[in-house]
Amino acid sequence: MRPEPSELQELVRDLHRQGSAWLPAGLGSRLDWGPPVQASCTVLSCAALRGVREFNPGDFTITVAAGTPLVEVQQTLGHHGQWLSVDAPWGDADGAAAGSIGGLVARGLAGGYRQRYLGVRDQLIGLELMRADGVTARAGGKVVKNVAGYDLMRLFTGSWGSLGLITELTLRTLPQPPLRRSVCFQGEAGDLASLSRWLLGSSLSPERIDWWNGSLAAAAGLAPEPLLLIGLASVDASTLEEQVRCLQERSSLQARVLDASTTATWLALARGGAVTPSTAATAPAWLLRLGVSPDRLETLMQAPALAGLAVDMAAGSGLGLAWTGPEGPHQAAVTSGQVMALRSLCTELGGHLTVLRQPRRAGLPAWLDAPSRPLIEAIKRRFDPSGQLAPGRLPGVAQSVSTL
Amino acid sequence: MTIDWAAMERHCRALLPARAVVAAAQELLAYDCDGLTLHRAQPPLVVLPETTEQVAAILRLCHRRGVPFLARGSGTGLSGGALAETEALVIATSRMRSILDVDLANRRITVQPGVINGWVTRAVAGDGFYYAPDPSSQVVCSIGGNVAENSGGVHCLKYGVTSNHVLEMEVVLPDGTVTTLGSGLAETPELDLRGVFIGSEGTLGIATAITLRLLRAPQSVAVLLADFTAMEAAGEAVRLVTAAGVLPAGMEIMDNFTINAVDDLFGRDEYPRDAAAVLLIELDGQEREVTAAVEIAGELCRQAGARTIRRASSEADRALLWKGRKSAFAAVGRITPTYYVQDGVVPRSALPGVLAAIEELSRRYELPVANVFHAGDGNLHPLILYRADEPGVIERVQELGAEILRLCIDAGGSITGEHGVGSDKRCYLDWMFAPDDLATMRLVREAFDPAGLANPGKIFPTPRSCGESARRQVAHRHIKVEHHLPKEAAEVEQRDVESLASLDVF
Ligand SMILES: Cc1cc2nc3c(=O)[nH]c(=O)nc-3n(C[C@H](O)[C@H](O)[C@H](O)COP(=O)(O)OP(=O)(O)OC[C@H]3O[C@@H](n4cnc5c(N)ncnc54)[C@H](O)[C@@H]3O)c2cc1C
Repeated sequence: MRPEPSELQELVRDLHRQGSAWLPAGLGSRLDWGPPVQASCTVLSCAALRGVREFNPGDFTITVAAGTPLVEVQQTLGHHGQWLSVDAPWGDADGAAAGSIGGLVARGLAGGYRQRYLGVRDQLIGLELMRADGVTARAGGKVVKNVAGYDLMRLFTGSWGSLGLITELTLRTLPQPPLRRSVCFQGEAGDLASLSRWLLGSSLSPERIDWWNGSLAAAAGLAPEPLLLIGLASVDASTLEEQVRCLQERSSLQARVLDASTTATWLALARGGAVTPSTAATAPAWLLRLGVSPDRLETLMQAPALAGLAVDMAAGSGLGLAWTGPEGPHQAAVTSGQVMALRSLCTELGGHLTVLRQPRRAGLPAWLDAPSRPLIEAIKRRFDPSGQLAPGRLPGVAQSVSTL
Repeated sequence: MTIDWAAMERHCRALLPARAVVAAAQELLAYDCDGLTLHRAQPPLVVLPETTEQVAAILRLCHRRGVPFLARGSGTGLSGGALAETEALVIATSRMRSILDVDLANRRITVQPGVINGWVTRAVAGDGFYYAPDPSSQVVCSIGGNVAENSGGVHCLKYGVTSNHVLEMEVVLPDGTVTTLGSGLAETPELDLRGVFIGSEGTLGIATAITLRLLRAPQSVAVLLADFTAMEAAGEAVRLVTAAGVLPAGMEIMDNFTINAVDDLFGRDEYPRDAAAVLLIELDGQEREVTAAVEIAGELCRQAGARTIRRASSEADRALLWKGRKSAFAAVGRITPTYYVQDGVVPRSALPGVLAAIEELSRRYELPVANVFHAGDGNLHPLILYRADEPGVIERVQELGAEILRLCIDAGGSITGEHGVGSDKRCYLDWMFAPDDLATMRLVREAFDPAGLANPGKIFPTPRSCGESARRQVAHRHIKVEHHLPKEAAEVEQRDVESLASLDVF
């Protein structure tokens, strides 16, 4: 269902009266990510909640309806030399399939820009939501600094639709960096690790330090060797040059300097190449969110359990993605057993693994139980007492095997 | 319900070492207020646990007996958050001051909640790292208090507030259960309860171990000071600098009133007395970048109409430029011994208009208001100056304070940017939020603390504390703020205490 703003509340109240299950959705581009939801679930899209509600460039904040495509938000801001400092989600190769801003927030998955700009949750300063019972509520506000009331913005970031429908968002914006340049290195994992270690301990402040495995580099038409992609930005050209030089001098590996548009092309490849998520035939059989302690990344990148996966990790945060091509005969290589082994490895390395997509019948829980599971369930009971919202999807609570 | 405090004391003594239970009236006096001294209430009993297990045992006891409790860090809060208004057990974290783990390879550190903010940086500075959130009270305030208030600092414009820097927390829930929120990584596939706990002002439980992100110290820092003949021009400079993509570590403005107070204090004209505003910009990063940014920022200030511009890059010269700003509150304090501080926030573009309106209000109420503020993020700290012995002045101060907060809200802002709502501003929270908003926030509270034992009565307006606040224009509270050094100051090192004397409140 795709209710008009004027119909939304009545519809949600009706669903509440009937006790029907429903799934809060943005533009529906990635609904199949994460735990499967109950088949009979009504999908309630906010596609009709669209548009910029308030934007005063001088304030560096923007208020948008949750169904507004991320691309549209970036375009509006771009006209004023500003941007939202977040990566488009995986599967947005051509820059048009990013999905809605509400969807991005509900997933809460940050990409490489986290290195300099922090995560999705850190950009959010205000929120309007609709609860399962149809009640509308707001938290936060329109100013960048605000501690009045509880921080429901963070609670809803990464909530996967389990607590309510996000209807409007206020985010902080930044001026676009006037100058951008990237440097890329290819070589042995050990060399890349020592370069990234040095960089993270230095006073340089790159926008991103992305570590690709050999398969991803090969998909980008490069030698099938691990790669470190370092994005730099500055207000000053000579500073950029100095940083590039500094990196070149630091490593014995060959440095390749990329301009902003080549970097953009490469980043698009790392977001899934030609693959778009909306077409089932090209959707990846496996799409995994990985996290490890940053100092254990070197171990992860060399793990046999990554065989057959393209991998893109942020060196500073230890968070990233791994994926395969579409389901098909040649994809049989990656089994659930291998992904389970990868999950144990991530846990051992101080992190976790989330299954965003998996082949039918693979049967892995998307996430495992968090230590605070009882509290997470208590929050869920308060926000959605009849369990109507996204049944089967509650971050931090592993689905029981029977629902898989 | 009346609580049998003698029995509570006995039970606490059974759980804790003797020195960890404070029950003598003269000792309890030290816990009767926080940094906002106008409200005072002596708690019936204070405990000073040292470990998570002890905190958990105490909370289980409270839970069993239905006894309300509240955490207390260093007692520097400015919103009456650590005030024991209703009879409640105070759980002070001043003996939980160990650094539990330093993990430089992953740029993170784990501390007990009583650890003083400044100690964190001190522990890692030798290795070139620091902890970014830097409230002016950082030589005294605790990390647990910072987490509870989501505290900011001068450098939060560029680096963010406490919430942007906490990775993981061990928390004792109000029923005594110990749990972990978040993980050592920036993102975890679970509801972000860590995020909602931060800034919850002690109403969701007690944080007993906190893992913080560390940053690498910048290679170079520079300060630029510009003066303007109109506040609008200073505001325009802030706008131009921000729009140019130069993200300063901090941007602070002082108004004409403050400038003159500082000059009087120094006995010389540190700043031009006729200037309407002085703007301080701190820039940090790679040396070459800082040099370029200073150039750009200087040019933009001139474009906005700056009369004179001073620059400094050495530590000593920087300190000199900051000195006036750091002495601003002491300077204002010389004019009148008492002032009431607000913490409102406005959208950056509304700054000039709101400042002009505050000036107008100040004239109307015949009360001087000094403005020193975080211009970069629109966080105002108007100080209303008054003489407490003047008959009827308190009411006027109250009304003026409420009108200033009204202005902030009407401009699209907030009643508090970093000090929290606490008991001081709860009656204004419903000026910002509708009943459904507050009811939705309360769902979180009910999930964490169904019995309502943790820091009762704080944040949310209650009929008892606020009456019919929605229709009320002015709060009927007694407002008299003195400069107050919290008792815990005595427990920190002497060196810190000395620097506290020169401490600037905001
Ligand atoms: C001179 C001065 C300057 C200041 N400058 C700034 C500034 O620049 N920026 C800024 O943001 N603030 C500033 N403040 C306000 C204050 O210092 C901060 O709010 C600080 O974080 C309070 O820390 P505390 O340890 O003193 O907490 P307390 O005052 O003891 O407690 C504050 C709140 O935290 C709760 N709490 C304490 N410990 C825990 C815990 N372990 N778990 C759960 N809840 C807990 C308490 O219940 C209470 O509600 C200033 C205050 C003073 C006096």
